[in-house]
Amino acid sequence: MTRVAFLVLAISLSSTILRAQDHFYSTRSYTVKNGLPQSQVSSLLEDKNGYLWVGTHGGGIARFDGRDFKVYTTLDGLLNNQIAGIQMDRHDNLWILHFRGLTKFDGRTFKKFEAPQNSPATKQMWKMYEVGDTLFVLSVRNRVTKIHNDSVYYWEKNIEKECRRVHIGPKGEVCFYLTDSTFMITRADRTIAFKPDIKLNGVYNFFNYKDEILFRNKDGVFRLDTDNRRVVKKPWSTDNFVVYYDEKDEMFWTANSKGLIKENFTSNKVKADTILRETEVSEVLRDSEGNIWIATNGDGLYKYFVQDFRCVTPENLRGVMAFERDVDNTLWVGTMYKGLWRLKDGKAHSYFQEMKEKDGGRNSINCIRVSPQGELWVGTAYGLGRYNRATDSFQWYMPDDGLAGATVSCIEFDEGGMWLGTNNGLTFFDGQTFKNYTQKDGLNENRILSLHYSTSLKRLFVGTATMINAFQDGKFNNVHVSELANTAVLTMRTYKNSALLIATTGNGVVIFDPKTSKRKQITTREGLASDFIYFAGVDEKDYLWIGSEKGINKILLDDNWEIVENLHFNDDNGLTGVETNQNAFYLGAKEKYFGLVDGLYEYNHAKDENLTPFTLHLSDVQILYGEYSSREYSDSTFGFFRIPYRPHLPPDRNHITFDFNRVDKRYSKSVKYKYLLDNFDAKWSQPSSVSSVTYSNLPPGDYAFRVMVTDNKGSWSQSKIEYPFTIRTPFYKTTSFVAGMFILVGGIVTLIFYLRVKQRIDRAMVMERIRQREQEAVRKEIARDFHDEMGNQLTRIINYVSLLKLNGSVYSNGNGHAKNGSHDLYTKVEDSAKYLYAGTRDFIWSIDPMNDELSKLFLYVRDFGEKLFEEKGINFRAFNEVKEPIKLPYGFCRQANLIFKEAMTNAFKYSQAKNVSLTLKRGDNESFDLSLEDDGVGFYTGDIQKMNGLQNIRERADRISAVLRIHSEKNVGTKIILNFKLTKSFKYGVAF
Amino acid sequence: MALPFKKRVMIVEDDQEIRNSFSLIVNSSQKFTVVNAVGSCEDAISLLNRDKPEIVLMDIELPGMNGIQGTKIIKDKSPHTDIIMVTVYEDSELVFEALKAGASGYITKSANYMELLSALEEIVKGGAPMSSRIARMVIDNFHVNPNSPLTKRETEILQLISEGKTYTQISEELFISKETAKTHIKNIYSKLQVNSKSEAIAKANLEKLI
Repeated sequence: MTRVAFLVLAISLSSTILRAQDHFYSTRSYTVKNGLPQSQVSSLLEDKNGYLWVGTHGGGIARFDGRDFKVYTTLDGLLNNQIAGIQMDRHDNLWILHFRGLTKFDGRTFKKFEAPQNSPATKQMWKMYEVGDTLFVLSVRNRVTKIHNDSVYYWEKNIEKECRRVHIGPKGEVCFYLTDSTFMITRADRTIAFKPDIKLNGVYNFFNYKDEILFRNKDGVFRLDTDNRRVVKKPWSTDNFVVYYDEKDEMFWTANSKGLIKENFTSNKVKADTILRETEVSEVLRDSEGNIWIATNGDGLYKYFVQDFRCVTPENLRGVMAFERDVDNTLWVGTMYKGLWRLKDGKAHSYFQEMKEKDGGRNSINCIRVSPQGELWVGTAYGLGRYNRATDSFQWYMPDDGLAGATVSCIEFDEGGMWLGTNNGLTFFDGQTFKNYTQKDGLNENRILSLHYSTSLKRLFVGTATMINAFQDGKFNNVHVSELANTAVLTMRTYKNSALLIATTGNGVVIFDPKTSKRKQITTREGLASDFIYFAGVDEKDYLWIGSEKGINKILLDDNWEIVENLHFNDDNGLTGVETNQNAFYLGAKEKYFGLVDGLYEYNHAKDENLTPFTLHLSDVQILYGEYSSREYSDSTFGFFRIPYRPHLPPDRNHITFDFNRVDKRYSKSVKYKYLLDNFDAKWSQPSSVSSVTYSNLPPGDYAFRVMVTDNKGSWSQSKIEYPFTIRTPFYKTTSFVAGMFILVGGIVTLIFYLRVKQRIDRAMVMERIRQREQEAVRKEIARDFHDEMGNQLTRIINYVSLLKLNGSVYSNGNGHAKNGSHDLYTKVEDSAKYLYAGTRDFIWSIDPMNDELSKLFLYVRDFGEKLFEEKGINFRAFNEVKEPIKLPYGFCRQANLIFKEAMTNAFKYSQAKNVSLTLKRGDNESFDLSLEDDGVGFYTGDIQKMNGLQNIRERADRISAVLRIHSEKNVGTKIILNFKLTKSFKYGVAF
Repeated sequence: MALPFKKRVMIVEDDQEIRNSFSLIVNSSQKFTVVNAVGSCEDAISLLNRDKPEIVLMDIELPGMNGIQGTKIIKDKSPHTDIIMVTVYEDSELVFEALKAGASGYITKSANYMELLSALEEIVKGGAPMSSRIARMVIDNFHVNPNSPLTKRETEILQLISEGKTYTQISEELFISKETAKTHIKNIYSKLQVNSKSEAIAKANLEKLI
């Protein structure tokens, strides 16, 4: 990008835009109608993304992306709407120079630097330049302002020597011309100052020529020789002021009193075109796409650019309906009402007058074709014309001569002759005779719109207002293609050997291969400008040229018939008339012509430069249409637009708008975008020129927003966007939280369950304890009552008997025995009472819950044995091997006690033993053995059944689920073993 | 008519029939004479100085002051009086409490006149047979006391009784006669009476240690 400041240069002439000699160049004006904020443009700048920044004299600054102007004013944050200059610093900040201060714009925010009101030199600032990291601003009256790192070091510092001119050289160096004729050249590393050794009559203006700095004064043009610190006069061919040297085209943009001129005087042949007249030009800029931008003071902005098309016909040749290029390079142009034209050697000849007499019918040209034999045929609304080159006249054929209809709409040739589509059927002409085909012969309709003969299929295709008929071997067949339903077929061409390229009126372009039935429909959804297609043709490189009422699309398909390139041409590209026509296109290898409503246009083949397109970029990421700043959720930003890098958005900031753009100042309307949001969209969007998309209600997750864009050739570009971002998961949806909640809920449920169970158990235990206490209380009460009542009563009986015996002994023989035997009776009563006493005591003992323990049982039995066996002097021993307390079920003590009392009594009475032992020990399988063993006479165990006492103890053993084993051996002794198991009880409804 | 060499016996029993029959049985002996038979401890205590009994047959369950409280007061007032508890069954906790209160032994109510008199004699001479439960209570009582008044032998005997050993086994293990064992038991009974004093000493010692 090269930039030339052009001082106020008044050029007074008409503002007519002249067509340059180079026909493909064109000038386009942008005014307030197009969105420019003001028609006084002061400065221009192209940034890295390709945006053109346009400073105005009161309307603020505008950013142009090829389509629209985005305007920034004081309302947006500018210090002032008057712009004196624009400069982009090395950190991608835009510095906007006003007459009394500066504004810095970082793509998001504006920062104002306002000159102090009471500054001694309050006159305007006029020049801004950057040296290294520092920005300098020159004001009139020798004042300079220095800004570094957003800090103003001084405002309007006075400098000793007045600066007359400032110029930025080709390498970025700043060149000053001071009042004392000193030149000062400042670079980032050094400054050179010198006074030329020759006398100079001032400096009018500087300009860059290749890598030289030149200046002009009234003596001519001089070169600054900084190495030798001198100025050198340079031979020069023009007297005009050089505004800008276009190194690429080797053109000088110059100005004189007549206007803005494009000159080439470096070659031998001097060439000069006046581009603008009567316009005050303030700056000329060539952008990276080859467009020349001209800022004017009052006439807005002009774009001077190479066009893709140029109109080659005179202005009165309009409504081009048919075109053919003759074998001798003559161009034949048929118009709607203005008849047939012949263009040859730059001259246009009209046949309008010759054909006028036929009610103008023959001046309505439908088609022009040159036969394989070189004959030129013209189809008109009133007959078919055959051109005679020798006489420059036409021979006419009418229905009377054999044509099916007077209006010939299309002409086609096959190996045998010529086919004519008319308003009343199809005609075949072999040069001699005409043969007609109508609905009677199988045509679906008599009004023929288009014809195409496929040499590979040897088949003629006939297009009508509703379908295609295929003619082969004398028969018509309907070609069924669903995509063609209810549309007229305006043109047909062969695409890649056998496929038909069909232009439809409403269904876009249809490609259909009759051999394979493969088909493809291309509509506006695929990127066509319109679905109403006038023509569709194929060029030598298999590019499809598709004309509609909205211009021309140039499309390239891959082998799968998918679009790989798609360029759209309209008035932006030189097709001023925009609307194309059915039979007016010619696709030669070297020349391509298109007939439009306003004339014939030639395509610019030579234009194909390989300019690198600007890259696709995001221009904004907005949350809820900008209500919240997306930058708050990112650590850093990137690019001019300060896009947040990998933002992590809260779950409720999930309404996101992406603005993206690829600046194209040449084919702005051809730029198409496709986008896809990874992790959300299933497939890429349809191509669209809309450069913004909004996603709302995005669920939490990681996303990547992707965009693809077409390049300046219309193909999907390598320049892509992949923009990752994250919508955070709300804390209540995080895995850890859910897991935590799950655990918590599980824990609470378990706890509740546990507490309920525990409560039930506790309650059951309390109930059990109460029950036990009550039971124990009852048992104790019973025991006490028995103790008191039974005990006393029995004591009385025994005492009474004792007294009776005492009284009886008075009459006895002194040894205690009554004479009459009543003493024995007393003894029996006493024994019974004692027995009852003992039994009661046992019962009372066993009913006391304190005694429900194995060791107490053992001691009780032992105490009984101790007393009993002492009477007879039998040695009684007791052995307890179970030391720990073992709880016994209620009732067990009583039964066990009675068993062993019976056993001991038996041993006492009958065994004649000397030694008796009582043993408690553990048996097998957690059982216990309580046994009584004596060394007495023993007995025959077979008699047990007969012994009531032993039977009783067996029954008692059964009651307490114990096993009683009796071993007895004659003269060895007897052993009685009670084996019992104290099983765990089932309590409280829960197993323990 | 009481002979001077007969032991003076007082009967404390609320059941008049039993009281009368006990009086008749005791009086039938040449060695004992009933100096008074009363229905409550209060009466017994009030007559203590007048009747000066050498032996008191004391029922445990009595209206008003029970036999254990009565035993304590009688022993305080007349330390040389032997008090014999009369109980329905002998291994009751009340028996032990009475022994602690100063009783010299106990007899069961089931004894006939022969047994009653011989038991009286035996108790005067030595102690009543000790049940395992009483033995265990005695051990527990003295176990907490570091300055136990029991001799080593007495402690051994008590331990064996509490473990369920018979007198036969004790005499075999300790190489003593059954009678000796019983004498030891008499001593143990009498030592139970010093229990409160020794406890006080133990407590004092313990506090001193602290």
